[in-house]
Amino acid sequence: MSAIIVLDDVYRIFRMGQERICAVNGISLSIEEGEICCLQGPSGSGKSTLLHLMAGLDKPTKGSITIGKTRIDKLNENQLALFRQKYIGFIFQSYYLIPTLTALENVALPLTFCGVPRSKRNKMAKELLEAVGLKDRMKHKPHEMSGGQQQRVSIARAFVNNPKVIFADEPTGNLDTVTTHEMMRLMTSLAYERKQTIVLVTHNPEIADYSTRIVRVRDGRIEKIENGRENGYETGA
Amino acid sequence: MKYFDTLFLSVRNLWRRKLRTTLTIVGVMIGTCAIVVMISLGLAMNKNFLEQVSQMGNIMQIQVYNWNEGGMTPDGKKIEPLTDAKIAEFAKMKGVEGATPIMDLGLKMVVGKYVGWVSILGINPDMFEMLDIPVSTGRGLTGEDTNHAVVGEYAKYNLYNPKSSRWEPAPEDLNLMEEKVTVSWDMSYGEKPYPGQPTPKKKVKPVTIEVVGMVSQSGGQYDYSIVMPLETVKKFKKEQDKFNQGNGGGGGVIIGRAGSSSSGEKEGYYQAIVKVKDIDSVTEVMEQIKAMGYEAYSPIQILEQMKEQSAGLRQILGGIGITAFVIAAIGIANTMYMSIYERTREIGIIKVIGARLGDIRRIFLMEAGWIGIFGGVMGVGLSLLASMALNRFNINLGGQIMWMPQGEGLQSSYIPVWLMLAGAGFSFLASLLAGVLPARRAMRLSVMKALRQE
Repeated sequence: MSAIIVLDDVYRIFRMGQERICAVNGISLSIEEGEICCLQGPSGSGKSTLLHLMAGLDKPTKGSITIGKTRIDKLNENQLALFRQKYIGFIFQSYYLIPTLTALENVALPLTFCGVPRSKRNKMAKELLEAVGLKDRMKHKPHEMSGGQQQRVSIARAFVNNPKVIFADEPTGNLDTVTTHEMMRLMTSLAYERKQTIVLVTHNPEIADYSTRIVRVRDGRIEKIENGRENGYETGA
Repeated sequence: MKYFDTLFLSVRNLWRRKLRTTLTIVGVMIGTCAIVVMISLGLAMNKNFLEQVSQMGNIMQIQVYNWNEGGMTPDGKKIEPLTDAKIAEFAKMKGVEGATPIMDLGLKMVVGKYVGWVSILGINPDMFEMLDIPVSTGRGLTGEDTNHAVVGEYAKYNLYNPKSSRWEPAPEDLNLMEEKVTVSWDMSYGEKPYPGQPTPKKKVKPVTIEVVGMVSQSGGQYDYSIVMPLETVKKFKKEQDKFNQGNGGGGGVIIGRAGSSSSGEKEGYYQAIVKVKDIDSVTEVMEQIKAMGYEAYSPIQILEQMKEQSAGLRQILGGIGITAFVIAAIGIANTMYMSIYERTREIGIIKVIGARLGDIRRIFLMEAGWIGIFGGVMGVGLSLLASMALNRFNINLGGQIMWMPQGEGLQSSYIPVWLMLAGAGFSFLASLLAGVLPARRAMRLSVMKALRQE
């Protein structure tokens, strides 16, 4: 196993008027390939900022972030976009589907930006929708689906371009307990099959059970790192 | 991102805001319509000028006269006679289609028992077609013609019966194409000699000419004349001179302008016509001919004057159109900004899942472009309707020369194909321009801020 994400002494400082807020205050962390890494902490601890930094949505004030062999803190916005197309998938708490597109089109959208031809991307999107159990919901718009179904679409979208790393920001925050477990099982099994790495942020302790590593964050620093199960998939099963 | 996908996505984005899109398109439509109609009014004005001026004579023809022969040109050169060589020189000028001398000879025309004075115009028969002489029946002259003639509709009104004791003109229905027509250089031919007039020493036999065509009312010099090949007219002229000398110089009563034209080679002609290929070169060719010391006239001079006088009005019309369109373009920009505010989060999402900056800019520009295309095409359609209505009710905004009778086919509004294309094209380009700033704003939205917005 080799490290896929490496953070080296990362700071992220926000200025609010005269005050300086250190959301991330000197974090070094290495995440191995195939890990399911859970960032946990109270709200305001800086865990979400840390996730955004790792995903290249935000730039660190100081320090370096490397994914694979790429220093993502050095990329410009267009390079980041291309990088995200190839290597990164996203799952959000509020699903963030495009309301006017059908489930199939939503899942195929990342491929659209990659320039994959229509028939090919529809085929790929269909496969993933089947994998998340939405075979009969392909032509539905987001508002015609339940929260769990929408999150399944969003998971399918994150996995469709076969990324190396999937970032999930409170993926089950809007879901009930039963659905939460369904989603976690789904994500971990998909990632296990494809040898993908998942980094997720949550404050739900139950989700930690699916992780191979739990990183506890408080006040912008790593408080504690706990090892979880051997692999997330078997734990969930 | 594939081009087609961008197109598809942008149409889809417009479609989901149907009402606002429609309203914006209507705005652009009215703006385009305003521009196109305003310009069409100006174009119709110019077109009417052209049409009316064309009634005064062929606009592509320059009448050249040699009134100042022997004088000096403004830059001090001697004005040379208008010879065949000079006319050939005109024909070689840039933009000139051809040139012919006009030789004017007054002769006696004899048709049956009727006689009358007639003006014979000698032209280069190869040039006949270029002169646009409106032949109503029969044919025009060609290079092979010798004693063939094309006769003006009104030439027969000069004919009368000299034997009759009272005034007896030729009948209305006399068809010169069916009659035997002869001409004579004896100007007193067939007349009763009045007391004291010396009788000609020699009699001449009239020469038969073959009438091959009739000129319908051209409104010009051809109506009362007979057009014949130049060489034949030159021969007539020589015979006439011989006859006059043989009769003691001017034995006959010389009516008309026979003396005013000369036979060409050395003395030069009195008049020539230069035919120009296109309207734009008329003025230039005229200047060149004038610089040689000749007088040159063309109806285009009147046209230029009229265009100059109405330029102000046309500019005001254009200004109104452009103002209307600027308002429409601001409407587009407004709509695009609104939709960016609405879709801030969506822009954030597509950025996260891999849309490049260029993709986002293209999507927004294309949305603006679609509004422009639809609005533009519909605006042109609306303009065509408006133009039809204006023409039907014959609303005149000028462009009529007051002292000319109302001509046929005068229009209030004229939309040529290029104006349609230009209208739609302008609308498209202006819409893209209106979309540039909103698209840039969408492109520069921060992902973090966009996602945080609920």
